[in-house]
Amino acid sequence: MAKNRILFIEDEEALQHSMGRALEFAGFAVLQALDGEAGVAIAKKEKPDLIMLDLILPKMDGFEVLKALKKEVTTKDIPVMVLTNLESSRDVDKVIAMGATTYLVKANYELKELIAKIKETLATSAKQ
Amino acid sequence: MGAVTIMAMLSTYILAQRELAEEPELVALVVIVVTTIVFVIGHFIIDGFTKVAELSRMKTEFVSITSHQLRTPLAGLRWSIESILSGKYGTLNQRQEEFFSIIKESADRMIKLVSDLLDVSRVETKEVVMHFTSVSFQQVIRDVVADVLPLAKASNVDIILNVPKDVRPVLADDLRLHIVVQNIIDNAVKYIVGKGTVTIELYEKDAEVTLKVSDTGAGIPEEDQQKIFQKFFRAENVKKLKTQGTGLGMFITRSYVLFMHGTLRMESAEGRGTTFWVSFPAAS
Repeated sequence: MAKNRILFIEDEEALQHSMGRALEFAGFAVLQALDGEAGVAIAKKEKPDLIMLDLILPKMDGFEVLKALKKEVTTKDIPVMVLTNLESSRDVDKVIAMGATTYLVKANYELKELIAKIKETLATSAKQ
Repeated sequence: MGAVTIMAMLSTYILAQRELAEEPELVALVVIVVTTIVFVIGHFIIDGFTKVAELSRMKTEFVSITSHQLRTPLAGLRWSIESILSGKYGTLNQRQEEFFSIIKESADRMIKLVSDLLDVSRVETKEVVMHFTSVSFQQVIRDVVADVLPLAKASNVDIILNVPKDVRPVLADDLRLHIVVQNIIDNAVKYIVGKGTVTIELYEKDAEVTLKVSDTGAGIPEEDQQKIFQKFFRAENVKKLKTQGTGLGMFITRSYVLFMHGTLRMESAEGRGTTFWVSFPAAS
């Protein structure tokens, strides 16, 4: 069975490394982008099954990435989990209104909890 | 500001006219002096309010940016250590596992401290935005107990639950209610020395749902009982236990209970234990 592909758009290399390995061990294929522009380009080309998106990013911030993804026919239905360390109700409401599936504060979750949430989101997305 | 000045001028002119009808120059002087005084005072007041609002905005932005900047490397640290401890980079020997567990514990404490400081900042600047919904108190208790059970077992603490299914949900902010219940139950478990019991009860009375948490722990000395709701306060008897804590939990708990229109009550006796009651309106 083909592996689910996850695109992780995150500029911190330490987080890319640890999350990337954890996702691989959990049986996912991992695509990585270190800035917003690269994230949008990879999403359009590869059409992953799920996107994990940071909000503070170089070149194009997470809000602009989300807007671009939801505007594009080929990427608008890909579930997007926002994974950030910002924690403001305004940001949460904004990204959910823009079409993100979930808003998670990175520092509040262990890797195994995030992997469980990813599996949950993919399962929900597959049913729709 | 302009409207206030004009009104001050007109009022002064009318009053001065009545009193000083024979002396128009004096009337004009009085009007000018009073108007100037009103304008200058008004300018300082408005400037003061503007500066206060700007300072508040800067403080909020500073806290938001700082917490983000602090949390990012902490998340990296936590995830990396978690990966090492899980064995993904090779099997650790016992000493290595112990050392990495200590590092992880420190990272977890720093993350908790940053979160607590952020909560305190929001409370103090009244930036807490509550999303009130009908929340199942039973589910919140189940989530928190599941989270605290490993610590309770490791500490030889029994948890007794009396949480009926038929108690109505409450009108509250789900996330903040979790924080309130987590802080109360965490403390109940943490401050028990040796073997002990935490009893968690939920009941409904007079359209209010009450959570009662009793422990057989260290208790709080009478002279400290009001102080535990202050920021960074930790009673002397628990400092001696060397139990970890930020000293912010009770401040945050009480603040969130009040923001959710609930009530919080406590009784405690040093050496015998503590009971908390927290109540919220039942959702219709």
